[in-house]
Amino acid sequence: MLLLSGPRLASSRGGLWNEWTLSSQRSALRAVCAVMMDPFETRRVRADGDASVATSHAESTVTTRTAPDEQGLLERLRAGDEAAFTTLVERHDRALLRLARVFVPNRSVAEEVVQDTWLAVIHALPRFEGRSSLKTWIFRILSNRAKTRGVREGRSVPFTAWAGPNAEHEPAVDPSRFRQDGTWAAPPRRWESDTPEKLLMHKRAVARLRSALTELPPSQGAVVTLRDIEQLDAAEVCEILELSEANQRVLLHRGRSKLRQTLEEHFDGA
Amino acid sequence: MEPSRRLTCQALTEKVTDYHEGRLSLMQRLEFHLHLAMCPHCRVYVRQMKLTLESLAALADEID
Repeated sequence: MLLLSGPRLASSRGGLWNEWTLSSQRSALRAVCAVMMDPFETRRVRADGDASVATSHAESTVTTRTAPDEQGLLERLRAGDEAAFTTLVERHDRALLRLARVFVPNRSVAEEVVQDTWLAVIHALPRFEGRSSLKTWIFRILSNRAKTRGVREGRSVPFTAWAGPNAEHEPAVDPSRFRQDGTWAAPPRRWESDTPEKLLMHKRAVARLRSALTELPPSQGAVVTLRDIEQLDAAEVCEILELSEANQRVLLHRGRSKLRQTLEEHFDGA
Repeated sequence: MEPSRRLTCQALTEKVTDYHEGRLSLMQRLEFHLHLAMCPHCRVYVRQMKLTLESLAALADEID
């Protein structure tokens, strides 16, 4: 029986992300039972599941609200408190620059986009209704400006062209690495830097990862930046980038797959 | 050791994000886990994907 013949299986809660250390049949059974008992084992699953995730932009509804810690800040901003604006800028400036950078060809243009965004935020603040979080609202202003600027600068084709169904046909791994039956012909090799700490010590690998992020199609780079660097949830990213949940997931998958491949090429060639 | 016949290695590489996003059904998740239990190559692949994500998360603290 397939289940009982497995030599090793993931430990229960951490799922596949944990080390593969369990070897007994009892452990294997326990792990499978845990999966059955705990459908929300992955760290990114939203508690509200599908219910609040829009299926298309047209159908999307604003599900987030101004966070409690933002409410006081918002009131001070509306009162024209300069210190509050400084706090806001310090809180989000670097993240906005990272997001802008995936749309435009260089850092100086990205800085211009961020500055334009802050000016737009000041002008639009009196009209901010709090239907989304302040952060989401600011990121959305930035992304709209950066998309437009990116197209003008020739960095990208219109964003929607990348978010379409074609992206679904991009394989995560080069098909030539598999046999006809779908098993690995050229399997990945274990990286020498097999922990995040070790990997981050490789300055060249980190630099390669950062540059690879800006080489992705902007829509993929933007989704990966917001999800995996800024740690926003899927619904927020859909709202900021005006994507359907399905498109967001496809773009995330393609972007992550390419970045893994970039690191693989870096370590295999090192 | 033969991997699960229902989920190939190639198909698994296309399901990693769906798994991580909690988008697989119970049966799909079981297939995913069982395949990984049998397939050292896919374990390496998933491990690499995890390292990629953790490295990306760390970029938030890096000075550009």
